[in-house]
Amino acid sequence: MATETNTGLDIGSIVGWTFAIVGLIATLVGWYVRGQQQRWLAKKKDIHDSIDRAIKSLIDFEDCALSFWIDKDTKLSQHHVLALHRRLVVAFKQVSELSEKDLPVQYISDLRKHSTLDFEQAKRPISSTSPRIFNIALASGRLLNSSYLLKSWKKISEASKPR
Amino acid sequence: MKSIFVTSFSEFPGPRYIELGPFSGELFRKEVLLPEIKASKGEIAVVLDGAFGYGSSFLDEAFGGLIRDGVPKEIVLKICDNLISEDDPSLKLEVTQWVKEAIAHGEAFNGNGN
Repeated sequence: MATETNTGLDIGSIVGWTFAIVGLIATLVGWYVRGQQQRWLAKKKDIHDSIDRAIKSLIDFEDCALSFWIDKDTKLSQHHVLALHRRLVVAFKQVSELSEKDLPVQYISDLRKHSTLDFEQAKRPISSTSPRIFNIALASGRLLNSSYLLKSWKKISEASKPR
Repeated sequence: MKSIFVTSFSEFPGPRYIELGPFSGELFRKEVLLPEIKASKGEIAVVLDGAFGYGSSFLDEAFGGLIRDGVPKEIVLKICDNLISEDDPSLKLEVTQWVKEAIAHGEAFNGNGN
């Protein structure tokens, strides 16, 4: 009497399980890759948002400093200049933290120096063509044009390479 | 090393000179820094954090003024190295630049390399 083998059933079962496991692995890998992409996109968005805030804080500071020195009837005081400089530092530190770039301390220092040096005793208003005004605009422009405030879709480590 | 907190002097550091207003850089140098340098032989760490903000004239007068007051440059540069400024790291750079400028100015004025 011939015996019936279960080989066909076993192969079918093995193939079925193999497909199931491969499918599960592919799904998990897909989820992982998608998760990584979403994290990367979220981080890039955070960096770009922080750059926007830093640019705004820089523009606010520059406007305030120029008005403080040039405008005859300005209501801005030394405290406004200092407060806006502090906001600028906070905004730039946030960019630095997220993008892993070094804080541009020289530019930030230059900006404070040209805007606040002897501001308690210097005569105001000053001419819009005076060296102090040029220096404030120059320091602000350097910061604005720096790679530090450049939005990039490169990998963070690549984007933070010094130029 | 002794820590000197600027906020213990004032949370609102003022102008350059005493006659220009309260909590000036000159007052901070004379009433806080110089006595502490003398007492601790320069082994101090000045903590700049916590204050409202610093005008550059305060920084120059307080720290660059130490050189103009005759404190040895080695001690003042060491104080610069030990500065603590987590809130605004650019302050440490600026203070060091003012001190180096005061040293260069002093050397040019005296006509020697000391």
